[in-house]
Amino acid sequence: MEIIPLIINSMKGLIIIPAYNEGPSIRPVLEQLHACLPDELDLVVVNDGSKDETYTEVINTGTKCLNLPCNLGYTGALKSGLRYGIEENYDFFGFMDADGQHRPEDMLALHNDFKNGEQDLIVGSRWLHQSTGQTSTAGRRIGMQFFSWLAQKLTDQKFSDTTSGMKMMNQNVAKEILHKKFGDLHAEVLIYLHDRGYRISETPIIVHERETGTSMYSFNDALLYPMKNLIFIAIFKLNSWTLKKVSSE
Amino acid sequence: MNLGLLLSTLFFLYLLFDYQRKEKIYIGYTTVLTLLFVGTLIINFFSHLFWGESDAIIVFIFLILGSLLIYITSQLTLAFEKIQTLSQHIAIMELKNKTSTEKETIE
Repeated sequence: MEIIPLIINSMKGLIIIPAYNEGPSIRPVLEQLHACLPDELDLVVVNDGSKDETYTEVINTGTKCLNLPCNLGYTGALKSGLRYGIEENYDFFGFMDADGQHRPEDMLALHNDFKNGEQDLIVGSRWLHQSTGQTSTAGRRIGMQFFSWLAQKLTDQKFSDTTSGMKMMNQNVAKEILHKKFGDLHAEVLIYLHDRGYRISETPIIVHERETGTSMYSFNDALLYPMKNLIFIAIFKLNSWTLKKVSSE
Repeated sequence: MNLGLLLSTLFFLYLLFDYQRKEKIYIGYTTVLTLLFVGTLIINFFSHLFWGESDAIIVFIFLILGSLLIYITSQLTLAFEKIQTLSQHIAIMELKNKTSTEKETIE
């Protein structure tokens, strides 16, 4: 039993930070990360076709940067980072936001939990912590609660924060995400991975309010988001049901 | 009732177009024109009253245009996938080259 943590301790991880027009906020985030990350964790920023000085700011901090020639969106940027990490033989991967909402010490907390080797995917949850600093609109809260409830109903596992952008996963999960079509890697990915037997858990994190820039969700996106996610979940559940039916016959 | 249905359909179509614009799944003028042309008529296509009043050639044209529309939409998705893969390869190659050059300079 003690061999697994030893193996994971010698593994190399890659933190992937997707960034789109995050010029004013990315520098302090990267400086804080460089100051506290252990040697086994590397950092790559995916510049998702930004129109501002994001790329220059990243390069000036000495961080590796995947400079996408055009804007591929949040999931496209994360998949680019995963593709790079798998090609470079990294063993595990972390996702973190570039807008300064996530704290580097929370990424370390996720890493510590991941080191035990008991989980395939760890999600940072802002609602597990008692003194979480984040507030959100009523519509957003209702959406989050609905998808948490739905994920719980469909998986029999409690997920308090399905919309978290802070995650850590092993290479098997990363390959699943890379080769399958997902929405914004929220509730639908948790349900999909749970159905395939992957072990998922949550770790409490604190999420700050955004100080600069704008959210990636506009009013229209917020209206379409539930529809998009429900379609993905319906497709995955239908696939799982069909597979079970075929295998039982 | 009909006005409500029409407004909600238009609003839904607007949201879908906006989503596709944001996700960079661009729709050309041909598709928009096809959508406008077929979209208004295809609603009638599902009505039994329409079937009674139309002749076979019009139904045939709608079927062709409908299939074409599905084909164009699927091709657009494939085109986006290709753009995504290509962009990823360009960025990864650029970073790998840069890292190896830096290593060589240090050595």
